[in-house]
Amino acid sequence: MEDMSHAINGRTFNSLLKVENVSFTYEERTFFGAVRRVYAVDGITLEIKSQEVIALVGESGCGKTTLGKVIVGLYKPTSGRVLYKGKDIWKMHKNEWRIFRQKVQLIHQDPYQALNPSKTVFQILSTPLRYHRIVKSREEARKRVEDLLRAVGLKPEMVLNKYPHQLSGGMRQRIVIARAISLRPELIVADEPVSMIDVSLRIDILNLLLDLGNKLNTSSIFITHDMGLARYYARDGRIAVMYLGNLVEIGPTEDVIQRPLHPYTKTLLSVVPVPDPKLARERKAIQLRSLDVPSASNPPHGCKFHTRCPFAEKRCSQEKPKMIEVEKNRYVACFMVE
Amino acid sequence: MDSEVILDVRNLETIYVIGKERIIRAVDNVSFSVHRGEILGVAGESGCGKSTLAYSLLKLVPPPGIIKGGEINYYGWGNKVNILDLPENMLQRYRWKEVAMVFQAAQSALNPVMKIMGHFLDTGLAHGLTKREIYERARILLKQVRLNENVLDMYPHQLSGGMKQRVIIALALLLSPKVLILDEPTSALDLLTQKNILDLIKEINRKLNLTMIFITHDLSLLAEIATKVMIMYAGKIVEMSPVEDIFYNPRHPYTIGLIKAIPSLTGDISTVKSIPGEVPDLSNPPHGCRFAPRCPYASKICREVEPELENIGDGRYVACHKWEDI
Repeated sequence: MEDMSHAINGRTFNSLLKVENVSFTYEERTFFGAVRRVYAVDGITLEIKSQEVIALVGESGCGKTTLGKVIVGLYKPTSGRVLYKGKDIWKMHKNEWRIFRQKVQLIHQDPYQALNPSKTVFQILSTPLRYHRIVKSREEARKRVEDLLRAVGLKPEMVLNKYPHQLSGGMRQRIVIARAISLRPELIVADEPVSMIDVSLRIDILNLLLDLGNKLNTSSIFITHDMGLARYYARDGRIAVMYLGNLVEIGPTEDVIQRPLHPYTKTLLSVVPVPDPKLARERKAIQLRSLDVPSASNPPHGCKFHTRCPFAEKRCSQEKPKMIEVEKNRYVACFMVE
Repeated sequence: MDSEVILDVRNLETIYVIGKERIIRAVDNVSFSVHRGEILGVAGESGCGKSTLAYSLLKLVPPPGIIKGGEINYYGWGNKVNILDLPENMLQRYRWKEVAMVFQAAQSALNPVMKIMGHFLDTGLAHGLTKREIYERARILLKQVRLNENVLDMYPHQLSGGMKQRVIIALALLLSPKVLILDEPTSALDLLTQKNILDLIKEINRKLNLTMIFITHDLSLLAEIATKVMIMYAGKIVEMSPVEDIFYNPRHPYTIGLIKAIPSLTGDISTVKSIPGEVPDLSNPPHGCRFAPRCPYASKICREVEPELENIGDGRYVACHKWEDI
């Protein structure tokens, strides 16, 4: 994983943020009072370059949201380091930390819960500007907020003095995006930003995020369970596939979608519904050995996918495969692919 | 498609009365029929009325909803019966025995302190089966949904999400209904389990020749499972056609837009785009065609006259003034 400074789709990038062998575990009390440890993120290394777009995909419970929160500094990893421009964020001085939190922003899944219901749009958007001293006066704040609203496709005079409940879901998510870009971040982590948005409007929101990213030279990590949306969003970037707290495959998006290498990625792509009746009925899904996802509090030894993997051999249950560059820019953690 | 009609819905209107001034027309003058043995897929975005339609078919619309008008004619008893006219005791016989439903997120509705057998007993005894009959049926049904019979002796928390959903489907089949309504049966499941449940539903449809109504927000699922697809928008049916026609030759601008708005793994992603505008407020829908404010083909007539759902031949129905020009 060290040598990932290659050009991807013809573009080169400088390292912006890196998670290094990061784990995040927590204790959970069961119904009967027993304590068990949940391995939400388990030894992940991932580097995000400046201006890069990454889609982080996986099914519910794979740890992708937790990893997102570790990346933005909301969760302190149990082990491993998060490096922002080479600096461990958990060893930062107060001032560095403040800059880090300004430059790395999170967009939540639910635009209904992400906005304070008792504040107007103007208040919501101007507070961080003043806190981070980007504006000095109310007039300046007003002008910035109006510019931000226009940047996310809203008419300032229509929404400035409205409360969140007076806005539709799509408009709210645009406000959330405006707040995220208001601090001129270098990295935006967007966790399922369109899952609560009507299907017919999703692409607009993703385009907005992509356009703003291009304009402001921002990197972004798009966390999703929807492979189609991941393909769309990260078409000029990379896709990273997670399974049960581990990364199993990373590579340029179209390569991974068209020619997945890890058995899990292959299986996942073989069951994504396709909007084509003939194709949908002809294609064969890869059959797993078991449909049940193992528990994150008692994960299998060796490769975590071996209990379900149709290609698993003895070695897979004993040793954990490492992420290896099996082809140019393509990293896979599987003995069968090595 | 010229097989026997089992359910025939005419001019159905279901509304929600919210306060004195606000009435939400969730299902507004909807007519369609369901044929024996088919899987009718119903798709639309949240708030389009698809779940309300499902509840209406069982006459189980939760308050403050009321079925204000129309007919739901059921042909499963031989002659035509409008279930909206049935007395409560006959409705009891209609629900579950004739038309059963798998509710959205039903997995979490299983009683956590009751073993699976208890759920079968509850349902069966309420509808007059004997314990012995229930036990026998339960064993057969579990086999049908590919579950081991020892599941009967387990509690819901001992089962995975996919297993629970299979139990729910088996429970819905306990009284051998002729029609099964499935409301988002896979929305809480991961992709691998979803595929498994879809395959199971298709198999049950084939083996039992069971008529199914499959409701989902995910149009792509219907490519896999449905024989006929109904697209709803703002309380109306905008298009209803055999599954191939919906995906390969859609006629309604909303269907076309919806298909274009979903990035797939196979298609060209550079042509993917959203439908401009937003879904209308159902308490104050626009005049004329409800899709007109967002429609690239809309003209004067579309904003003034509401289009009827028109039979355009080959089992295809479209509600659009312009379908011939698109």
